[in-house]
Amino acid sequence: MQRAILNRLLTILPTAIIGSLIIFGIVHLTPGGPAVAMLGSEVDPEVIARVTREMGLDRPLYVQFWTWIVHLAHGDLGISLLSREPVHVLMLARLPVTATLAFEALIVSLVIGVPLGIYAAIKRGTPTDTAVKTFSGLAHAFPEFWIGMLAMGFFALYLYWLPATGFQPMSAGLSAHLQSVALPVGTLAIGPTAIIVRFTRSAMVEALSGNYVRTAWSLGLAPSRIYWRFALKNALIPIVTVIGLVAGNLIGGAVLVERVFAIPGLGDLLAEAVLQKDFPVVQGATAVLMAVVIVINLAVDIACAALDPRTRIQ
Amino acid sequence: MTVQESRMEQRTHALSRLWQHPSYGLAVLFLVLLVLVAIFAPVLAPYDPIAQNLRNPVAPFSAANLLGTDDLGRDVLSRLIWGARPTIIGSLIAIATACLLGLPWGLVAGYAGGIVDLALMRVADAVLVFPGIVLALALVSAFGPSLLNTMIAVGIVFSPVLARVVRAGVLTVQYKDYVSITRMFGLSAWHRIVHHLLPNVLPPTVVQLTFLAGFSVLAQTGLNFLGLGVPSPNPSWGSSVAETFRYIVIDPFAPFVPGLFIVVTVIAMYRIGDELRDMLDVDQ
Repeated sequence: MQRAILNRLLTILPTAIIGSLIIFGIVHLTPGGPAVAMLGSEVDPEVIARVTREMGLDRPLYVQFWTWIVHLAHGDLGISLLSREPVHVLMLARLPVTATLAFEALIVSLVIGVPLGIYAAIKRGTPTDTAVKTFSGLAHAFPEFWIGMLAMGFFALYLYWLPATGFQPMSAGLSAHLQSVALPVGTLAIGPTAIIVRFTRSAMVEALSGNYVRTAWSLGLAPSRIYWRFALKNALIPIVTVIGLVAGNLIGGAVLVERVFAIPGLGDLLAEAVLQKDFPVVQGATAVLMAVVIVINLAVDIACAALDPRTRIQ
Repeated sequence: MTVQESRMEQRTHALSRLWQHPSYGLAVLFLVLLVLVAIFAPVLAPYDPIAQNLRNPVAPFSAANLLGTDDLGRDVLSRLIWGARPTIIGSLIAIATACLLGLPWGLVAGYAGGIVDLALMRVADAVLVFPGIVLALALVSAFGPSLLNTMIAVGIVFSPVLARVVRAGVLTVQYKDYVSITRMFGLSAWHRIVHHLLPNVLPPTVVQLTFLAGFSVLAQTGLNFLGLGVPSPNPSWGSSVAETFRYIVIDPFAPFVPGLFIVVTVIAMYRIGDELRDMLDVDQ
């Protein structure tokens, strides 16, 4: 078990290093270099030269990369060009918001997706199954921002049931929090729900077609016992794996959904920084979001190894 | 049956699928119409898509403005018709970029094997760790927010997916006996590529590219929504949805129609991808 975790940790290293190279490289790909991109090409060349020197952009790329990585490792992500605040301070203020949204959306999509997938697998071939399959097939054709705006229009601006925008943290009271997140979390959960339904359904279908399940039927065991004890237990691994798969979905979706509902999260910060060419924030937010996805996938793999000894062998 | 006959058969088979599977036929029909609408936008659009008419803002559906007007009195239908252009051009840019990067990426990895393969696939893993839209956003911040740059970014984000598919296609045939035999007989690498590699690599690639077309429409409209891609006031589907924000308080259902264009287009592209996968017998 410990060896499995250690092995998995080692495979992260290349991904993390190449990932940081990509993030670092992106900013240096800009036509004319970061200084020109920030200031615009009409600015006095002397000013550009001064900024280039001040920001250390005239040093060799590998030196700059090393400095950036060392700072990154210390949690120092630079200073926002726009607000002049340290990037890590900006991120720390917004990370809990995005984490709350993504976590709640994950819970919602598991609570809806897993039972729906199990039910569709048990009722395989019936109209219910077809309906579930159609939903999960169509759901990823719907743009999140559109669903979000429709939900806002209908529930907030037509029915007046929920607030249209804004975010109330848990500390503001459970009911205020739930009201403020109902629409964004619901919007964010649709895509992952579809993926979870599809995975759960096919995992259950496969488990139900196993010989041990046939034997269980022939022994006359109760259906509920067969479904829960025999089939689901074996279908669990793919269901846990899918959490890693939807992690990226949730974080990517959060960028758009936070913009729709004016929620001050990381996605909103990133979108704003991209529009304003605030490179340190773009780099920092991208690095943190990448790290989050890597950590979630690591956690998923460890959970799989704990659940099923077969997956411990690499 | 000669090769020619079997090819003819395949072709008529592909055509007959259009009415044997009506939803596939409809999807193809829709995309053909969409391309025609994009080409003939100047003739088809009843109004100038950026002409404002501030005396008639947020008008409901009517004979004069079939899909109503936006907050600046612009005809929504005309904007959507013109918006088909960046949608299609953008998809083509994304597909071209993904092919330019992903095909050689996967071919080299599959063909070279060993350490080259390992290194190339580790890079693909690393790129795929980023949520697609986050990496696209970071790339756009560097390249600049034009439609061309935005869609190049989307193509880059998708290229490792294509590389993996191509690599898998190469690996399935590379060590097959009938391929090894061509080496024994000293046939050229070109012969192997044309007769053995391409027939195995092309079908899954085409299927992936169809899905990329759908994904690129979603990504493009999403980035439009964030204010990247097609600059205002030029029409695009993403900004048509985003612009309804300004008057969603007056008309809570305003985002519905422009978004429907996006959804139907993406569903049509995915449907064609599914059908091609079955037709070309590609496993996923």
